[in-house]
Amino acid sequence: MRRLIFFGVAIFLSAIAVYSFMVLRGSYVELVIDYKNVSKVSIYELGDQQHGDGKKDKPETDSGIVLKTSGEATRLKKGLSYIVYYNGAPGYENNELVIPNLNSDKRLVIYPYLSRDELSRRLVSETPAIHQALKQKFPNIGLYTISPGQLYWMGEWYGTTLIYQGPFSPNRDTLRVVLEKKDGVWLVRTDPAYISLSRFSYPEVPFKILDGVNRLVVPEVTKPKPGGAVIRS
Amino acid sequence: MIPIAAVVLIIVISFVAYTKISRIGKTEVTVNIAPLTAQLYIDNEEGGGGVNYLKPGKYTFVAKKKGFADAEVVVDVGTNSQSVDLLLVPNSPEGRKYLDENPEERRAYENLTSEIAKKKGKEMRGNAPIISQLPHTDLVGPFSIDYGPNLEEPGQVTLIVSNSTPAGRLAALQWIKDQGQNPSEINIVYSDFLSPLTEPGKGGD
Repeated sequence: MRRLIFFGVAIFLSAIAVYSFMVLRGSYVELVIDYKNVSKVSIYELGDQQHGDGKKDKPETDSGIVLKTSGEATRLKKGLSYIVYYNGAPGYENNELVIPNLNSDKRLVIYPYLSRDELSRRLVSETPAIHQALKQKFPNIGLYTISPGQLYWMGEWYGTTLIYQGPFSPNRDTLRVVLEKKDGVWLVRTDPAYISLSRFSYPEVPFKILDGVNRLVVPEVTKPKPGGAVIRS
Repeated sequence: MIPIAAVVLIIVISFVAYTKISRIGKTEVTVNIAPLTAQLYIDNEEGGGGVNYLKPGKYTFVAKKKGFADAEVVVDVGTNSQSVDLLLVPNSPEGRKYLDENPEERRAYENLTSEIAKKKGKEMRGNAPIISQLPHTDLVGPFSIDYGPNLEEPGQVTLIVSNSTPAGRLAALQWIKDQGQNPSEINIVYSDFLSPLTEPGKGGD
């Protein structure tokens, strides 16, 4: 009889252990991150107040998980939100991405874009070809000053403002233009160049590029003042 | 007497059960057609106006009637109930005569036209809340802003900036941003602007 009780208790405890293991296992999910051109990747749990799309402050505590190799799997608590910070290799950007409500196993790929400094460095050598493409597309480009502009992503997109410098005109607005480098050749992707660029008018240009070019600040000295005169330095 | 009642009850229960079971996994799609006598085809199979139950997926709804242009809509049916409007426009004297001679059909036609206009207006307001502030005129800018449909993207809005100067257009753009509207996400037409970049002779006007 005693043996039977002992056996029953053993089975009961084993069942509890298996159940606990299953519950514990089910409360974690696996995150795999593949990356390239990255020097460091770290994962932090996000607090409730940090959920959302805005930029997050990197937690001050050193409680993050640092990945050692690309493709490494990490087990994380299920149902929570996480933020992944990555430092680009030299010439590549540092950035972050938020994983809201991680409820199932997930695989992420991180291929960072070029850093702002690297893009600025490359812009110097690309500028003559970009200006040439603009001249070919718009014979009246001489009426405008081409602002230095900016390269985006891996340097294959470029956006700038064209500031009117011709004789007095009721159409002396500053225009915005986007070019793409395809097979080594710069092509104007927003024809016509326009005062503001919408995703509906230029669906072939990625929205983030259009939005970035719409946000380019027009050099102060050439902004028209109410009343209409162009201020020249 | 009792056996007959029992049989009727069983038939009713069976019918209800069959109806309920046959609708499992399907979505309620209400098809509004005008004229009411137009023939509906769902993926080339004959169907009827009113409530249809369809499995989630992409369907082509076509309505046909002699004297009217075919109306065709491709709809992605999801898991939530939805409605499809098919308005056939008369494209011959025969079609126009049919509407004139059938007051009930004309009423249905006008009701659906008005319903579609209301839905489009609601969709446009949802896509661009800024239109509740329009039309807007700024005499100092100077600029006026109004809106119309975006012909390239149904349900979307085009903002039309007019009565403006270069400074006015800049002020209009700032006003649009101040209303919380991202200019990248809405079509904006500056109706007074002729680009000197592409329009010969506009630079030295």
